[in-house]
Amino acid sequence: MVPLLLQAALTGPLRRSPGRTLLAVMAIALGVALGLAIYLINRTAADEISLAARSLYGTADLAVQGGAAGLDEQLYPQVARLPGVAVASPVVEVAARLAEQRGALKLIGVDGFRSRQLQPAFAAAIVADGQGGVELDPQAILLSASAARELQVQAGDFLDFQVGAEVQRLKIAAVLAPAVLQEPAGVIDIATAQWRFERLGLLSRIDLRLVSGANPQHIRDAIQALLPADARVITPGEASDDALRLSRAYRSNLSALALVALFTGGFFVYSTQSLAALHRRREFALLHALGVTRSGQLGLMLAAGGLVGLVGAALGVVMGVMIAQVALTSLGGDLGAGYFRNLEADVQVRGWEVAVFAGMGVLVALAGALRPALDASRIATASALKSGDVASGEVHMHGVLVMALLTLAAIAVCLPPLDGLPLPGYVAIALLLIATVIATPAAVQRLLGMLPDGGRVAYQIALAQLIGTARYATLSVSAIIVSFSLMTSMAIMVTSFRVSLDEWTQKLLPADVYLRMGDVGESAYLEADALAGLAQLDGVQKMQFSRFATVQLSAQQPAVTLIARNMENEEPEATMWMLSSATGVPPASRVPLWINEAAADLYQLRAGDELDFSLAGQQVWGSVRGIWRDYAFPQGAIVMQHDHYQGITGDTAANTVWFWLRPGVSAATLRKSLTDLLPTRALEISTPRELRERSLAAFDRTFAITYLLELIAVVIGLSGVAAGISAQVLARRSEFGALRHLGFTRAQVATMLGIEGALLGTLGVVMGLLSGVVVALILIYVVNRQSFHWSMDINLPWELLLGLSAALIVAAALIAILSGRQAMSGSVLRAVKEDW
Amino acid sequence: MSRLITLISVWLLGMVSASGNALVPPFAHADPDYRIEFPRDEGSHPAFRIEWWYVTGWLRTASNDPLGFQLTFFRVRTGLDDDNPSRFAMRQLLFGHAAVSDPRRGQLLQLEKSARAGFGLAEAAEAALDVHIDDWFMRGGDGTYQAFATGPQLQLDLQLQTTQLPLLQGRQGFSQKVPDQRHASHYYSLPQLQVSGSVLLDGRREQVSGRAWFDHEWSGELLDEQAQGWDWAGLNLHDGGALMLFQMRNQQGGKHWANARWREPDGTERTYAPDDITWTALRHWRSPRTAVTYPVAWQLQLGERVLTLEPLMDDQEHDARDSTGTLYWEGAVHVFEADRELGEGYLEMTGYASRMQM
Repeated sequence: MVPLLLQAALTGPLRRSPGRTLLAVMAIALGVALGLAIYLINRTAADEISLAARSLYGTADLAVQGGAAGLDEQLYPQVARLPGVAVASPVVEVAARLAEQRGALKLIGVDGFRSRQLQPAFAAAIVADGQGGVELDPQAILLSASAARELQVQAGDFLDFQVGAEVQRLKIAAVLAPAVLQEPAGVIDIATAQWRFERLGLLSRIDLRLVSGANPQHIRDAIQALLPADARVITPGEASDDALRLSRAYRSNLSALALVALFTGGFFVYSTQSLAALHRRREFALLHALGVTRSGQLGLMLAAGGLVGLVGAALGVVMGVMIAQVALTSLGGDLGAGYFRNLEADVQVRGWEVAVFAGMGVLVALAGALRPALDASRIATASALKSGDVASGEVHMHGVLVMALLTLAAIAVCLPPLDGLPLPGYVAIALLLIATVIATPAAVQRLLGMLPDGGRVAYQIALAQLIGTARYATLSVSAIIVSFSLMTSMAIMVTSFRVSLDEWTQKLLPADVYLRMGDVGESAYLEADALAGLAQLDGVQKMQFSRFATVQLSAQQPAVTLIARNMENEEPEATMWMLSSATGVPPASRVPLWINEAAADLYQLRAGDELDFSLAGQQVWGSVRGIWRDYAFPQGAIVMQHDHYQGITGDTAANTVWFWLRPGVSAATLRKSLTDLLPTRALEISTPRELRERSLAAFDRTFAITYLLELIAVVIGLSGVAAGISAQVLARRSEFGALRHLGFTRAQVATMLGIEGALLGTLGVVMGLLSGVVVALILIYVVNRQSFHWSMDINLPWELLLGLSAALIVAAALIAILSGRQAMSGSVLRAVKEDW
Repeated sequence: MSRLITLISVWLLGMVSASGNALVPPFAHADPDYRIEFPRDEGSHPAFRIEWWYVTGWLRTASNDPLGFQLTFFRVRTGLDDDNPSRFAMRQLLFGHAAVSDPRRGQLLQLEKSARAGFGLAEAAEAALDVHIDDWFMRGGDGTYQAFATGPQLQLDLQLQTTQLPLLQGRQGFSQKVPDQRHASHYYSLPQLQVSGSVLLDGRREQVSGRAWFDHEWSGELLDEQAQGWDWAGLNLHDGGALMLFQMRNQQGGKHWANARWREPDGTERTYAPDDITWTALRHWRSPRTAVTYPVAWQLQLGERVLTLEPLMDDQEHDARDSTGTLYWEGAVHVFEADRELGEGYLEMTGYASRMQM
């Protein structure tokens, strides 16, 4: 009895409509696969980063991490002598600009005698090298395997580095085994690092191993008491967290997108199960009559949903692991966003992770099945037995529920980010979508009611059908509403971002030619006399320059970039996109500063606020004169006038130079004279067009994966529509039989179905667009702001949205027609009979 | 005497290749006319290339078990980074080495320590004996010294007290290493040191006392190219006398140069010329770990006297190949004349595995 019942109630219906079941399974599978894949990619990247940190920090228990300006080397003996400190290994890190190749190489300056007590692998590698004593050659560099591969060099080759105007040459004494040092970097002697790379008297950090049994907190406190405000004591684990924090917002946003796919899958299960519940009213009633209890009925329906979830989850896990593997090998651990370089990793899957994602898939499927199951269990046996598969058509407003959901969403939108992540924003989006789906039947009925009746018969019947079965009809569009609104919102967000970025680039690049020598924190720069020479070049009408430095505003946050520019004092608007400016005159004693949005958000600063920090050992008392839009420095940036900077630091060098050309002078001419004057390859010369193209290319690369996720959401939504409409149409075979009986031609029925499909599609598109715009606003003003501290202007990608809408409507109409053709392929008589 | 430098040899090799043909800075060289003065010359001589403070000796535990021990600090001037203004500049390196020969254990227990000098964390003071690397140290004056070395399995905490005047080796402390005067060092010894203190072995602290031999030597030149290695012994005799002798071996294993100095209990000293010294191996021991064969027992002919050296235990091989690539034998020995035990001391033998490179 029981197996038979199970077959009748559970597997039978699933097998009876294999297409619909398959689509539901696929929707869940896609959601699980994407969620798991993105999670695995993130986790693998995180693992790799902490592995890299482990190889970098070796067996260190703690590290004293200096701020942007570094640590005074005098701290080293003080810390080393503290009771409880067994080994203290000083480290000087330099981002050394490569003279012959693009980019910079991280150089780790260590005292080999100290570091080998923490990184025995270094020492082993040195001995295994067979040369012995390489550590003692001040001109030697030990390259990590990844750096050697990236730079295409080997032991015995030389590497040239640009330090200021000078070139420092180091000899590659050995290439370390890959496991010894994960990241692309070189190891050099600490004295060489200090001297040749201009860090005399300074350390980047001190790695510590504690005496076994020592109380780490005690020692942390003792060390902290010695440190200046911008330095802190961290564990190697916290150091790798720092590395991950940079990309955390990006990664968590991707995860949210992946969960959206699963969420869409849940709606899909909801719509298919609801349809099934409506179809099988008589079946259920029969089961009741046969003695199946209502809770038993509920259980069977849920079990059907669970089975779909289970199969989908199993499929999704397999797909997820495969996607993760492919994405990691082709895009890298940051999925092309450029956060981590050269991560090489294999996906390692753990049992509990698979269980969690599979469980989520099943849960979502169950949640989707819950409502239809409840409906089914409440069917009044007698009436259902009599009236068969006819939908009641009753539509509830659910006004209170919708209002409550919307209110909650509104509250969530106003909440601050949780732990730096825009989780409330995502909750608001989810609430909004659920509210939209719940409100859809009533809204659809009202919208349809407003349509003019009359016209051709097919149209009238189609309209009447939809109004009469609004709840039934709109079920099939709930999935498309969700996926289309998400797609719309993503399209709006990405377009707005791209357009804003483009405008920002143009605003920021008013000059004709740009020259760059070294980036933030790198060793290369232009000397003052070289600068003076540049201003004398033929064809140069005007020249401005800037210098990069880093300052530590808080020990808990990464360093902020300081840009010292010789800009016009009165008009910061000329070269910056000002969002707000302070009124009035700054106090004469305070240095005027302009901060980017990220700095304003991270440090809660507004125009007019005071901002004090230490720059190159000097105290700076500043006044925030304005906040500028920026997409380049997510950790914060401060612009200062070069005169002030030079007065404070005595540093006259520059990193970037902007040239305005005399009329008739071409950029190529200037480029030629620049390369003649400064024959180093560490120099980058670009025109605004090149820079703009480069930044947009980087943008598209970063968003490539989001485009992909979007596309998948739409595919899921479309399959939802296809399944819903076809199920609905197939269920109405008897109606078509009756219509044909009444003299309708097949073409007329097809037209009627096409109109129905088109109307449904239009409804889904309109509802999706409406909620999509709201979701886009949340993405732009809440999620992005909180994740990246980027503001942007809204731009609607009209063509894209219209095209997609049209495609969806046409697809819905075609699916309805095709399903109708299939439904009408049997004999008219049988179709009519079947109903009774 | 030019004693073994466990860690240094390979480091130096690295430096030689690093400096290549570059201008090698002038190292100070041993000067035959220089007169050693105390306490000034107990301290460091940073202008010289290499220098060591080397204590070896025999200890007795409370239960009268014998232990051999060695505790040494080396200073090396690299010749590198002379113009580097960084306080980390690698101009002077310090190395520490300690070992204990415990017959109950049957092989050596060793510790090592190394650092570049600087920041007060590792320093060798001038003008007085005060060398330290982190918590390891050797210091003192006026005939009283303290030495301390510590590591995972072993800790030595020793007080040393002189009982005799310093013994100047060679000619007034100018010690020639090869026929050519170019390879020479300044060298004095403190024999018959009274030792007291404690040794922590495998977590067990034992009070110890005994006699030790202290060497302090500095020079500007390294090993002669023709030398394959050397054999050295520093012996405290039971009658209060003291004997130091060494030979440099050539690549055929024959005598390249030799020297010995014997102080009688009454203070009279005698120097033996190379021709008066003959080292004859009596017994060999083959290391089961490295398959190197060492002559662990010797007959020594010094003029008319014939002595024999017998090790406290055969396996006193130092295997530092993992860190520096060197293999040598250094350990506690008995010295006999005929059948009479004359005293106890330390024997060091290098260059048996391959040529000693330094």
